[in-house]
Amino acid sequence: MSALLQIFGSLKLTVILLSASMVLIFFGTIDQVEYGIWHTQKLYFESFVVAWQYPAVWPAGDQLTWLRIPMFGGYTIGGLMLINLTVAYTRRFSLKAAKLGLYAIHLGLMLLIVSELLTDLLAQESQMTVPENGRANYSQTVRENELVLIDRSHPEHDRVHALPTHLLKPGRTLDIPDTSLRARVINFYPNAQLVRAPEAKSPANRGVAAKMGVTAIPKAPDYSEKAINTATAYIEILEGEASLGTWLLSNVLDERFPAQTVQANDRDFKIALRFQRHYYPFEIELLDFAHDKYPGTEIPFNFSSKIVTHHPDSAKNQQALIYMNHPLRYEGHTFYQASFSPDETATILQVVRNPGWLLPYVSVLLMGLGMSYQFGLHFRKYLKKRNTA
Amino acid sequence: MKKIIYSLAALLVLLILGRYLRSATPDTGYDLNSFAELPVQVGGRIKPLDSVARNTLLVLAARQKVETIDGQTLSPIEWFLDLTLRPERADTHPIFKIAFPDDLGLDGLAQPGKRHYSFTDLRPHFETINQQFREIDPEPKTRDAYQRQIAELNNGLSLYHRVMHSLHPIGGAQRLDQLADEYRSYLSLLQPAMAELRKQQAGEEYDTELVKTFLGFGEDYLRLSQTAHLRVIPPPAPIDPMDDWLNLGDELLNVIQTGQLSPYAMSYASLTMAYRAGDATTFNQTLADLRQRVAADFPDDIGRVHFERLFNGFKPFAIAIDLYILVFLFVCISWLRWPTTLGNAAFWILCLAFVLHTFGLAARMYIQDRPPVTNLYSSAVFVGWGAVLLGAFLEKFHRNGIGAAMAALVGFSTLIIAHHLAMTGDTLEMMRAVLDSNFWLATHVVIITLGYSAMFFAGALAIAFTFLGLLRRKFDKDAARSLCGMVYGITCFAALFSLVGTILGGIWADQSWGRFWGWDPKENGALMIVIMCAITLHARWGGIVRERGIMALAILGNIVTAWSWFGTNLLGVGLHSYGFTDSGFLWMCAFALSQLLCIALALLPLRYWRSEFGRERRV
Amino acid sequence: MLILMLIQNSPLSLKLLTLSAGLVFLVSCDRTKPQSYTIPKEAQAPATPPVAPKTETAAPAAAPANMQILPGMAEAAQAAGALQFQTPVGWQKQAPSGIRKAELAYNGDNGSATITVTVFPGDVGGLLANVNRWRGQAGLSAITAAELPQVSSQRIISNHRSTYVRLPGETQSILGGLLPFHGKTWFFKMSGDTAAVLAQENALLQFLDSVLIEDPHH
Repeated sequence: MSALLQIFGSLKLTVILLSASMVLIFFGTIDQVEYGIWHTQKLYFESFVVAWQYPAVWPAGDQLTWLRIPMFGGYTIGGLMLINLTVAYTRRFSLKAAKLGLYAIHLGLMLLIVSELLTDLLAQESQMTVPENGRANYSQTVRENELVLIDRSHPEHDRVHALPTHLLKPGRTLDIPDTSLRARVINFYPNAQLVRAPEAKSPANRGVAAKMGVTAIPKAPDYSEKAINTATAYIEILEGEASLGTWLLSNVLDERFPAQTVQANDRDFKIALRFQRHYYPFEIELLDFAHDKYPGTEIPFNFSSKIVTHHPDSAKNQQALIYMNHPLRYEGHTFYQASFSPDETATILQVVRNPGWLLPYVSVLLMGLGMSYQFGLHFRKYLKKRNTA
Repeated sequence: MKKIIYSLAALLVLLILGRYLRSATPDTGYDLNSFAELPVQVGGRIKPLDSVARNTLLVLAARQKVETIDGQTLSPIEWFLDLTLRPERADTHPIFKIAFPDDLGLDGLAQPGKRHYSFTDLRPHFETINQQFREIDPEPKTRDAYQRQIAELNNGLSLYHRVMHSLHPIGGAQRLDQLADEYRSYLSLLQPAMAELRKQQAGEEYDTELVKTFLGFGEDYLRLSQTAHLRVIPPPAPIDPMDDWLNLGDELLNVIQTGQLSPYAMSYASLTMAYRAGDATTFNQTLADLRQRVAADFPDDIGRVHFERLFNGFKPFAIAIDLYILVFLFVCISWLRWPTTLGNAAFWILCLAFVLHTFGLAARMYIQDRPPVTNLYSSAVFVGWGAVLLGAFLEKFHRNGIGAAMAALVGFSTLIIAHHLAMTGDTLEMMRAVLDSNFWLATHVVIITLGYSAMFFAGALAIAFTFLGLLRRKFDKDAARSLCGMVYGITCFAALFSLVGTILGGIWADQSWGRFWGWDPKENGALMIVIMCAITLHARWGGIVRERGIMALAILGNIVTAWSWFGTNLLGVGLHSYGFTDSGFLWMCAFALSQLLCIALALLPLRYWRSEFGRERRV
Repeated sequence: MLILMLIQNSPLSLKLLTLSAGLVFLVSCDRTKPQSYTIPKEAQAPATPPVAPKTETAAPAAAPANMQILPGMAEAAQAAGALQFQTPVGWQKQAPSGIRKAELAYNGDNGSATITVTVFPGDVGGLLANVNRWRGQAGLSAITAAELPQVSSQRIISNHRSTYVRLPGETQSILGGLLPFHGKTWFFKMSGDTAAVLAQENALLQFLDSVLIEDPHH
């Protein structure tokens, strides 16, 4: 028991974990060339184990692709580090001035690991496009998709019934929340290509697919930074036990195409598979978008969005200028200047919701103070030694 | 003896300084310095023509001088004068560097031993070069050596052509001889021609000859506006610093709308004519008038432009490189004889080199109005600066030569790296918006880069430890302990700076796009340095390693730092491109191998350690 | 087992573990679940016309007054700038004709498509006018400037920033790039049967990436 604790609290384990994390980070960097940053992050840093594979494009790649290096993922290493630190400090803790800095550094480190985990799990990032003199009340993320049924029958408002696509496993039948309908997943492709093949046998018997003979050909998902995958599904809608039909839904079949409609017993629903949207109880209006370049070049120098928020509680309305390194924090969300439309008439804001955004600041404050303290102590000792020597 | 050594050291330093400081521009009767200071808008800031001349020459010839076919040596601005005002002569100057002319497969081009070729030499081969260029890999990062050479040559020819036509339209010698007259006749034609054109559009009868002549000008200047590389014509006063300047072709086309030709364009035409006629007096007079106009239009920039020209000629980094070599040699000799005297001399030369290095850094900051590190080039300069600072500091306390020698080594290496990075063109370029924050550049980037300095310096000390321990008999346990203490101290320093820098980077990222940590290659690289430091420190605290182990880890730190600094830049060109063919990749690998070799040496069994330290440890 | 031991042994680790347990709980609440919610009434997207009109809709592409263009310069612009590109697999290169700098053709099971490259001086009425002209050709109704971002994105062609436009119509579709280049505008347009056009989008993107426009030499 105490032997076990000794192992878990040992500096040897610390060094081993640090080395393991270095190896993990190295391969997690290299593999971004293969899988793009977003997918690599999931594979390496938000996982328990991972195996690096010899890339086929490296020298002698065709003979060496069997070569794999298994390693611990970020969760394992981070978790073990937490344990290592906790055990070490609970076993050897003693309040000494000379060690105060070290405690601060390590407490900060623990907090940083926890905050990174928190961010992995809780943070949401999406983009909001606002046209000049226009308003927007939702943002969307092109990495996630959702199946929505929209009830437009009410004169005042619409009602959205949404199912995230990670639930869409072929063969499953899912209740559509708040309705009497169910969705049966005939098939779901994370990425696909839509082609017109009227003679091909399509499971769909309603909507665009049936009318225009469009079918989906599954494709391997593309993980590169800028790529947008064409999530596509065949969905059968059931009311009770009766089938209302099967639709081909895809995020490329968006507003440019005629809406697809499900006719249920008492009302109609617009059905679609689209990028996951986050609606807000307020609207953002873009008053002006400005974009400056360095004179005589195409290098952007500054871009900024002058916006005003419209909240049902008008006391919360506010005007703000969002530009590089100057985000707007509003109602638990942070709005960053991310991009703009090519003709510079619409701004694209990055909307981030991260309840733990303050944690890293606290932790780095602890670490920074701790390091400065500890370094200052050492340095003074060194200078003293030099002067007496 | 002491005096002789000190005088000898002073003499050597003076020789080095003299080599760089003797007047570079010969007296030709033309006021070259004033011409060199004429302003041009490049990359978002106003520069002297001198900088353009030097950067263009660096890109084309990979050096800052021209050797003409009749044996003359031209300074960059003299060459630029020929290029823009007397192109028929410039075409014969061999300035296109072709490392492997035989490999190009251009019949009759390659001459044994010749590395630089002139535009005239290459003229018969344009078609072939262009065709070869069209067939090579469109992605620059995956080209092989041959393809890179073709691409460089093709781009070089195009750059040459475009810079040439920055000050005059595309045409033969005769046209340039009468350039000012051409502009005048174009201006006088303007009103009548527009009237005739309106008649033409209204379907009335019009003077076809006049319209044709005028359209001839128009087409010519349109072509010029697409070719001319430099924006040399400022907008009419009062001038807003954010306004775009125009190139000559755009200005000439603009005349159709404004009816006014900028006096700058007219002056450049007069300069062209005077220079071609060999009339130095008119040339200098026109130049003086033009300079007066510049001074009136740009009172805030004139001083800076002047300073930049002086700075270009002064070359503090080049002098510092030579001085660092001298320091290293002095220290090496001091370990054999006259340790105190030579050690002192080395220390003071190091300080002089450091002052020059600092001056260069500060001058760049003044010219660019930015914190010291803005791109890879300036990071190389700064890494060296930081390491030399640390080294000089250690040397001041320990006076054993190790600090000075390793400072000189790192300073020298980083400046050489910077010199090679400068070959790609302007090192004082503007930055993208996301990087455009003086606050973060001054804190995050500077601190991270100081972390690199400390890592490299600790690594260099560890290499010194290894070689001294293996070879030098006098290297005893105390010396080892002291050196080990230095490595440990510098590693602590590196840990502090890398960690704080990385943290600041996280805060910057959080401020910029709401993601404290994004696992991108550059961030990961910085984190790896922090972890490397943590490994070294924890291994030492846990008693897992002793002196030699710490040294091995410190040298490993060199690889990690090099990876973070350069390696991550090789990645990220897009999916499935690892940058294997990039010349930087080879250097990275060579460096990593050399460091692995040093690690192997550090871990050699003690029986091979000839020093006293080795013997004591063995028993 | 280990967790139990830790909880027994240290108050600090206990706190930490509770914290992480809390985390996991939070997470299970937060990860997107089926849900339904009410939003303000959204405007219906403009209905697209059912059939592509045979004639081109009136193109609002009259050159604006301030465009820097002289009679005779159009020809000069035509003469300038050679074009290099790589022909995508499955495509045939056609001889350039008239105002077309390049033309490629594709014939597949899912229909046929062509890629044409043309160049005009000036901006030809601006991005919106050009996009709406193409929309007309694809049988789609005109859009407003505010809707442009929905059909366009940025893309680098020949080292210059261009606008990449996707206009899938019911039967006919157009995808392509519009590149302002030294006072001229280059149009890279793929048009044809919707299925073929959509299926060949990657080919078009490869083509665009391979395009290199040269400034004239001596």
